[in-house]
Amino acid sequence: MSYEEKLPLHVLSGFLGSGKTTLLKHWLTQQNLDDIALLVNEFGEVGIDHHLLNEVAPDTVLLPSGCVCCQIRGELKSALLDLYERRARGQLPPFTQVILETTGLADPAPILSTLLHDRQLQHHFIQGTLVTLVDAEHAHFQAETQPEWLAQVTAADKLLVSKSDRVTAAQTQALRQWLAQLNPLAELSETTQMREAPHRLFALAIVRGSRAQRFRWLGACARDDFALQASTHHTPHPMTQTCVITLQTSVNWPAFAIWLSLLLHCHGKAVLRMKGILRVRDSAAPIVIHGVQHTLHPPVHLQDWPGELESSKLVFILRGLEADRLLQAFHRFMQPLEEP
Amino acid sequence: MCGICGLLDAGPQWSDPLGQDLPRRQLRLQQLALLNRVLKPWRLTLSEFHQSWLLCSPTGQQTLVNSLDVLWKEAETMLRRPLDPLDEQWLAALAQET
Repeated sequence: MSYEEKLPLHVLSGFLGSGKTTLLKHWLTQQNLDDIALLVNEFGEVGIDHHLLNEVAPDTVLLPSGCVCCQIRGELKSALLDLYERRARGQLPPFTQVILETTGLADPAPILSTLLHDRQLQHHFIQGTLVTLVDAEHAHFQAETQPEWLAQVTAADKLLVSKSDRVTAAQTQALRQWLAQLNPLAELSETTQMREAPHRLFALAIVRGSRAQRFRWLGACARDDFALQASTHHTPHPMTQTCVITLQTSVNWPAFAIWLSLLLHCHGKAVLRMKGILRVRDSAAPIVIHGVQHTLHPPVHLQDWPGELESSKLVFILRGLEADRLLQAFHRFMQPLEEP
Repeated sequence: MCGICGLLDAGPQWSDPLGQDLPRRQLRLQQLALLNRVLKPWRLTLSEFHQSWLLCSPTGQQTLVNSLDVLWKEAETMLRRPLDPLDEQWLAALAQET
């Protein structure tokens, strides 16, 4: 199957009570979402979310039991393939995208890992947008007590602040600043802005559009937003550090790949998110790489170097790993291997 | 898959060499040479074996690996300790090799 025919799988994540089901239900009742199939996974034996959504979307598929992190390989795979087969047989409308609503306790990394490593799924699906809802009222408490919260926030491509009507405008603003610091790679908005526009959130252009549409974060790389983030990490909740590696020379890709794979193997839990654009010796076109924890996407070759960027840049969001230590180790590793 | 021994390869990996000017086999050999430089401070060696790699420990243990992920995992099993790319001694030994 060609890349163009593969179906994007979007993930809607967010901690328990952040409003995922409410938002989905609103979209399903108010919007025309015929081209989107929905998969719901939740924790516990009684699938309340499923019943809520099933009222308005009879083809909703509920993953049978447990958390999506633990059961991921079997259940998510069979649910996706089942959905695909029913679509192919004409039992379901010819949807063009799938949204997976995860449980509030799910770490998104194993979902991405399943999608990227399963050969059957690779054939039919591509990763879409990972959206995480953040409960404005309880964000700080959840961040301190639930490690999954941070994994969900840092893995996101887009962060949506929910329930901002329950806190003051100043508190929402402070939360937005903190989120921008925790995950400077994500786009940030509020559910009130997105309630009417699910197609903007899960736009196909993000998966198949132009370079500017697919890699909007490259603009932030060019503006050096992350360097700013790194210097302001002393907040009341210093949970992550941002490590930015800037390289003026072309990178020896095989050596870099060895270093990155070894880093993710040993410190994958600490590297919550990474994105980067590299000028490599073996290829005239720049390479874009990105990953979540242990899971790295295949490198994407861009047609040409983005005008606003002049050097290779790698951005790591780290938890429990010092940015300076990582930076020094990277240069100490690459230096001897750059030589023939 | 290797036609002679029936070994399955791991499929395309994100870490595969990107160059297109050289034959694939030559790119793989360059990757292998780099890996051996990285593994040397741990006294491990790697050699080509029917599109897979054969990892050998200083005590003679051997195992086949077909991706970097599996390589690190097997190397840790052989050495009975984690392979840390931030380890000071290993980085110093790597620099000394050159």
